[in-house]
Amino acid sequence: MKKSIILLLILMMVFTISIFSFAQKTVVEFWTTDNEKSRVDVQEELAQKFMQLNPEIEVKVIPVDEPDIPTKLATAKAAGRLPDVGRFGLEYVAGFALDELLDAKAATTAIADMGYTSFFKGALDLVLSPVDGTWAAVPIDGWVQGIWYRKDLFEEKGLDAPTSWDKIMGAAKAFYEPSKAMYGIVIGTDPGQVYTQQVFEPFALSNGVTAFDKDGNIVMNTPQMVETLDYYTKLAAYGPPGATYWREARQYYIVGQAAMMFYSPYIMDDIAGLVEDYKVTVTDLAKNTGFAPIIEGPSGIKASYGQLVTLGIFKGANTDAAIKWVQYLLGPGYVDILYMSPGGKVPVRKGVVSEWLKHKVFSLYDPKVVADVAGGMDLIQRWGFMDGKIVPLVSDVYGRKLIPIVVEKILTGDISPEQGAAWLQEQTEALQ
Amino acid sequence: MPKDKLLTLKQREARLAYWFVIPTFIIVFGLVIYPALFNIWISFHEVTLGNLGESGAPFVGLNNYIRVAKDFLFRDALRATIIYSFSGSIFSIALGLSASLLLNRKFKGRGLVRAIFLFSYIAPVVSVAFIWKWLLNPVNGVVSWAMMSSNIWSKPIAMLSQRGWAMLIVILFQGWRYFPFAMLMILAQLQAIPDELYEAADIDGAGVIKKFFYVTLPELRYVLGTLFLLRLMWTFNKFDDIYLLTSGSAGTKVLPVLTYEFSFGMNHFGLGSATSMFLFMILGVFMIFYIKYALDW
Repeated sequence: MKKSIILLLILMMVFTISIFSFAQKTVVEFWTTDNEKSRVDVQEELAQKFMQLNPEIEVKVIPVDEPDIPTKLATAKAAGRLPDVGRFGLEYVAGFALDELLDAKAATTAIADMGYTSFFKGALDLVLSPVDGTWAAVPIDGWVQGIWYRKDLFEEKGLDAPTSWDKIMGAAKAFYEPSKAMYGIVIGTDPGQVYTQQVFEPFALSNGVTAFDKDGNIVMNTPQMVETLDYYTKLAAYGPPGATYWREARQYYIVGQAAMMFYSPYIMDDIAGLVEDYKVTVTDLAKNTGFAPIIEGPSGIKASYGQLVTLGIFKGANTDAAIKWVQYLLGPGYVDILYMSPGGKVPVRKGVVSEWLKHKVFSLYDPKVVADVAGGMDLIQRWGFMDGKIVPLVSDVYGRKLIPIVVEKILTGDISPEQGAAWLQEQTEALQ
Repeated sequence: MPKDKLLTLKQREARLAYWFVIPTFIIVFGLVIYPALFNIWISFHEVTLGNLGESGAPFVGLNNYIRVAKDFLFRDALRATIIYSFSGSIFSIALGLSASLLLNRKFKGRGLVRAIFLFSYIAPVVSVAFIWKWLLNPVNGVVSWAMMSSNIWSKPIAMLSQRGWAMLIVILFQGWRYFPFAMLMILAQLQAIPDELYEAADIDGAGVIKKFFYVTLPELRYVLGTLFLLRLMWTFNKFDDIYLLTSGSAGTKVLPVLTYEFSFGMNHFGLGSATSMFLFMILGVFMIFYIKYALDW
């Protein structure tokens, strides 16, 4: 009797285990840097809808803090447990592709299936793989950075929009009144923040400084770089004291203590007063705000800086399921994704733009501002991404914070702009 | 009769002791010893994100160490680390000593005061660091407003962004945040000092100051000595306090911050491990001398 009960139990166990393995779903682990609670909720809803359409796939939405990506990925790699799909910015793509973590074939298949002409060419060009000549990752959204400025104050003083070196410096000087706690412009001066690099780069690009030439050589020590460093550090004098980054840019602008500052369209929610935590004390700030994404340098070159966020499919993933999920996010789920932060997420697919523009936040702004934000994707230029070639060393330049460090050194008077440019050349070469 | 059945009670208890130790040993080995050994291994190889977790990383000998030592930030970071660790530890102990002397004898509200003193130690570091940053904001912060209104400053000083000031602030922060730990340890020892010693000193005509230097301090010698060692060890490796306050700017980039930048800013784990090995060696040498001479172990 006892023996037969045991036998029955064993048979039941085997049966249930085999049922589970038949019902085994393919798991797609999705790491997302949109980790605010409201955004995670949106993504989970999309995952639910996707799973209903694809019952054999299970999607796990895993929120990750943006600055934690390097540490989390390193741990995952060491444990052999990389995610299937990850959402991260352009500066990571080159590095990951070079380290052979990304499955370029999968990304290319996903894009080709959706039709590559449905994407903005500018966005696709930025994700060309350094290894294969295919696309290393799938673009999902992006933003163009620019100067957000007080149109009303500019009109009062009869100033032109800050679109060139002279105009920016002139306006900054005109508004600088520290005794009244009023500052001309907030730019990046914090040596520990990547923001400093991001604000410096468009100035550099507008003076023809690309840091790397199209053959991948390092060209940091040029007279144009010296000129840019000199201009940038002089401009910093018209800003608030101390090391500043995006936090100060937002803070001073929404309480009316800065006439200009650099930010991405992520700030549109905050300026419009739609974010509870940030009290805007200037009346009608959104209506009185202008946006200048393009900077014209002294020799007439026009440049703009921006970011492209991509979905990367990792090697060793459940590739087919991953591709399906990526296509869902860029297809039926795309508008929901963009609406999570419509100002900060400019679409990379042409067909979606009109739908995206219907969001409430855009109605609070001047139509010209909205047009500039929407059209930004094709204007972006970045160091290390030129003519379809990627120079992976640029992610080390970012990681080592060379520009933020050299800006601080010049601001404290330790070195001159000439020495700064030479130092940059030396240090970038040492990174190889 | 089989031999091992003749174990004495003592031997059996000894065997049992080993079984009790094994779980702890596994945890310590897994979480401390193995990672430390792995770290040493990484520091001698070229490990990037691409070959992390796989075998076959190229052996590069002392190359990582040389690159780190020649790095433009290394000497400043080393100097900053030493200044920060020593000053921070001494300050937290000095503050802890004062606080414990205050709390040594009963008075009304003593429990409440003790609880308030503990606050800085138990509060989450992120909240506290951000509050300090707000207070020190040169345009809108309370400190700046106070200094400007009382005409001590003629124009706002951004303390967290200036060399000298920034180091001072992080040392003050370190002392303020960890003095409760010192206070508790010292308080425990203070309460154990027998009153007879003080009475004997009174008879000899010693005043308050002499009593402190000749009775209290000698009794506290070993507690203070151990405290300094512990605080130094922990501060030497401290990363989050400084990173949250200054991100390592204005001369406060200490070696742990540099380690972070190498390993996770550049994904160059070999360099990061080599930097942490430098930390380990410096601390190790100091500890050996300190334990031998200051603590008479």
